[in-house]
Amino acid sequence: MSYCTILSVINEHTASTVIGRYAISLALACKARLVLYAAHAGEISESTLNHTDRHLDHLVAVAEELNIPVTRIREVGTITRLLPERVQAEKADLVFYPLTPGERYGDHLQRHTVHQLLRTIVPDLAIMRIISMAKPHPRHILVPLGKVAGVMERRLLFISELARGFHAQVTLFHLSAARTNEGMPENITRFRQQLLLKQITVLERSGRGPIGKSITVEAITHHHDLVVLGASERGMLQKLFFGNPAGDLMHQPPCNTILFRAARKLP
Amino acid sequence: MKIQALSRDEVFSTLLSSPQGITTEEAVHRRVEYGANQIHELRGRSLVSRLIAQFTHFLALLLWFAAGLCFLSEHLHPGEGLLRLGIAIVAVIFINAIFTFIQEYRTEKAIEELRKMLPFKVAVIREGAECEIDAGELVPGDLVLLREGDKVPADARIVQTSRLTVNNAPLTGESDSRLLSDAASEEELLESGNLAFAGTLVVSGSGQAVVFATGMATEFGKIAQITGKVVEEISPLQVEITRVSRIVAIIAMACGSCFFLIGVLLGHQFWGNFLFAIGIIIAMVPEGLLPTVTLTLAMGSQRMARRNALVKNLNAVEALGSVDLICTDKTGTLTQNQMTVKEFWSPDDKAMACTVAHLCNNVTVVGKAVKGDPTETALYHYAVAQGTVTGERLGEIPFDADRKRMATLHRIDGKLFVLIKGAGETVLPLCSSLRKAGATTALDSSTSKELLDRLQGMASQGLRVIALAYRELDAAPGEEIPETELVFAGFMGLLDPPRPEVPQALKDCHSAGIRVIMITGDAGPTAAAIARDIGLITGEPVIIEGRDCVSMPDTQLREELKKENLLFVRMSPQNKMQVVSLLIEEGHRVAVTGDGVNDAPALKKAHVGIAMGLTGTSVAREAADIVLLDDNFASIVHAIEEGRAVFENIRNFMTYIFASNIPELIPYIGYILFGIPLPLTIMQILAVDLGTDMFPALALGAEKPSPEIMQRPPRPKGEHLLSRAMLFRAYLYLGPLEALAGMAAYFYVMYQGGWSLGQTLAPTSTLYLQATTACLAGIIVTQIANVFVCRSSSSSVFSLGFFSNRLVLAGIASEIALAVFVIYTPLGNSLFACAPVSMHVWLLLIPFALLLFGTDEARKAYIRSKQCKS
Repeated sequence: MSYCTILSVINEHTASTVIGRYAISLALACKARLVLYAAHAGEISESTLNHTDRHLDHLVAVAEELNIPVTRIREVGTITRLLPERVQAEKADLVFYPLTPGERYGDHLQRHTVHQLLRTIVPDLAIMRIISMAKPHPRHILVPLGKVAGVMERRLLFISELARGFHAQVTLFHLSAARTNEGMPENITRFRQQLLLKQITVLERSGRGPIGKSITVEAITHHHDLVVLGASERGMLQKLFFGNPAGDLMHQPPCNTILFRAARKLP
Repeated sequence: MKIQALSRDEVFSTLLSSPQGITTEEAVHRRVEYGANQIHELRGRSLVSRLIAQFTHFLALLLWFAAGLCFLSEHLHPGEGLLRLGIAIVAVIFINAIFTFIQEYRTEKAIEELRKMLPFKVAVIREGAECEIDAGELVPGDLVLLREGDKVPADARIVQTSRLTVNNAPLTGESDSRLLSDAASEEELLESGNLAFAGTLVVSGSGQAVVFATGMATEFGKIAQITGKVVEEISPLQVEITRVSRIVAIIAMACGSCFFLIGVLLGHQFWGNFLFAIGIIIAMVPEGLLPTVTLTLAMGSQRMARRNALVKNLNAVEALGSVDLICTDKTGTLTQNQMTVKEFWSPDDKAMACTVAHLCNNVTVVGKAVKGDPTETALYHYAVAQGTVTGERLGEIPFDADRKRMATLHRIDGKLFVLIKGAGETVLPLCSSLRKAGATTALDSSTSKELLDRLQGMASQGLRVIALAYRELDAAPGEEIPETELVFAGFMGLLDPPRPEVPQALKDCHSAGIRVIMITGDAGPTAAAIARDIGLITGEPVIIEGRDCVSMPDTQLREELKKENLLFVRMSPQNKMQVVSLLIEEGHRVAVTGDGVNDAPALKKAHVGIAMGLTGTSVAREAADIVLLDDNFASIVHAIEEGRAVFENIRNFMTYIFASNIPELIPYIGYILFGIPLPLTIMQILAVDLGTDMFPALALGAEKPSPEIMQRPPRPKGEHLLSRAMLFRAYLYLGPLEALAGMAAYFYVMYQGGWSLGQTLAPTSTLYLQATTACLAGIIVTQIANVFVCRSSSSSVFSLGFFSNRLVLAGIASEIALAVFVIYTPLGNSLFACAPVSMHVWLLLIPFALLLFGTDEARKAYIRSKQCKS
């Protein structure tokens, strides 16, 4: 099982070029088709359009140099309406979406684009926050896993393809409070074994204290290039009372960070 | 693909920049996207929330509760003096909160210090033209110009260089400067020779670099981020005080509820019964505990300062006493940080070797003082001691961390010489001959091997070996100073000698059950030699390098940490942080030393962070709990001794304070159960808790460490401040004796005044006022005996000496003075509802004080004899 079509959203921000490069590398590793997609409202400034075009040109050139089948699409209209349709039309099975500077994952009340896309995009969705342009190829990927790791198969596929694509080492991270006398929680052990089966180098680490802070400390002290978080499974009320570590991390990440939401089953 | 591994063109392409820089419009876009190039605290706790925390910890909540009960009682039953008590309790909470807040606020400046290390203005190329902008306006993709003396404003990839040399010491702790190049490199980020990092300094040369990370995304910003995000360990004392507060709260509530129920069963009225329960709860709350603990810690910190350990966080005073493991640096802490030439070997060219050491050297001589790098200073001193030479310097290739050597071109006595000094492994391959028996002979393979063996032999002794070589030139060279075909002149082995007091301090640690682990950036042989020299290790060392830490799974590292003779070498501060975190997870109470900017996270993470006052950076000093004024390991051990004494002392004065709760409680019980006039008023309780008890309790907090305190292992994690034995001693033995004295004095005065059981008295009648005053006097007199008794839980006062703690005597004097004020002055009488009592009452109370003193001496003697037997 692998990805066949990867769609990456590109915009006027330079961060989207880093995400585009991630998509290119993944497409190369998976031998997948690449769709570089931009959507803009009609009243957008010319400068913004120029920036987006330049980014698209740049990424198409990089992809073509690597002989990756690439489709370049730019549409006029609201992205929340157009993107789900385009994803369906292109039969994309993975979508990369760059958080714009003002967007904050988890802040549902702000009604950011990302929250609408979370509801409407069906396949795997990788929401990215880029803080450094310097690491287009991560070599050390940090994967925090809680007691509940959500839909494991899709996440496993995404992480293993990322690691394969970038020849990266994966560090599975958990809070030591979750550790039992027998060792790691069962889901983490299973996850690790499956990564090892795919011949990916895996390390395990544990931390202590609040989740978000522990992940930050781990990412910085061990020079991780990329953190791959699972989408928060906490409801609105839970987030209100117990906080939203994934949202906090996406807001102030220690390094480039992906929030992975596994493909939804269609009703 | 890493930024350092890309070619120059790829760098521009990846960062969407060009040799003309980015446009101003693009810069505006990116400024919005990546934010300002600034170091800031990430969602740190606001000052307001930190201030609020001082009012809402458990003991403060308990006091708020007590104050609330006072106000409620005043409302229900006015005129009992409870309003004053309530106000006094609130005042205690406020004074303590503000005092502690000021102490803690001073420690939260680490981020501020980091911010100061970035420049204000920076030269960049935008749209092909050079311009100067605020460093905060810098964005990824900007092309910055770096020149000698500049601070690097952001993390940047070098794309053009002209002997650009930077010093990364603020970031990595590595004191040697680095020559940067624009060539692609496969090294890791911090080791890469084509990257310049924010906060570092351009030592010489110039260059251009493309910014790839700004603000909090830089390596420097990450230190700030992690420093702010590290979850600080709660000090053992904080844990214990919370526990004590909980236990006291439970006991007080249980007593209050029990007596409320008894009152109900006896048919007392609800409100009277309720007020009685409140009175009991208030009597059981030790109002004076919080300020006494805070002031004791403050006094402890002053004593530590006298022993060269400046305390920034009061809780660290006691936390240091509880540590069972110290992670220490080597250079400057265990050693003197004064390199000296320990061994000199030359085949037959000693004079020339000394000439190289003397002239190929960048120390600055001002009068008699020699300033510069410790290695160069040592070489200079040694060479000058052998005889001075003069020469004119014509050129220089400075030392850098990659080449590991320095070269100069000198004219000496009219002849041209290339003089080279550096690490043996880089200089030896450049040598082709040496002087032997007055003649120059070519280096053959056997001589080369002999030199290598000698080099390794010296290094294995822990010496830093510097090779010295030269070449005589016939004519002045072209642009570059030639560094080949050198004549080998000799090796100088340098050593940073250990501090003389360190071996004894390590022995003290050993006998005190404290493990010491050396974590150093130095190489294994050097670390092992010093460790052996000072007695840190006894057998074969277990050496773990920093890079092993990174690749080792946690489980394996945990196992390694249990081994004896463990040395961590070539460690980066990030590696140090990992080791410290694991040690804490393993249940150790850890103290960590550090001096560099990036030691800040580990200093914050440890139970006690200890920064070096002389050589440490301001960031490390601000992140630490304790600053060593002399950078000396022995000072840590002295401070631990003080810390242990503080724990003992807190326990002693808690016994003292808790004991006086019983004589405050018993009168209430008598009042309710037996209908006698209340023998001790609320204001008199206040006079004891926040008046007469305070100074003697503080004096107990200043008790000197007992001689055997460093002969015991650290207190086990399960051992609490408030033990069952301590509670029994205070509540079931010392307290009841005091209550007996108070009630005896009360009844003595009452019966002497003609009172009979069942008779009621007006609260303002002289007899009643004198009787309650006699009860108060009973508590005061027995507390005077108690203060001597509580100086130690097992040592006799006769062995401690009555005058060995003069503060106790001063405390007793203040207690007596306060008692005189309360009992014999009109103002004191009106404030505390007292009346003067006759001398008979005092004489009656003395036997009770002696009884308390005598019985506790007997108890201590019994304990000592039991200890001897066991």
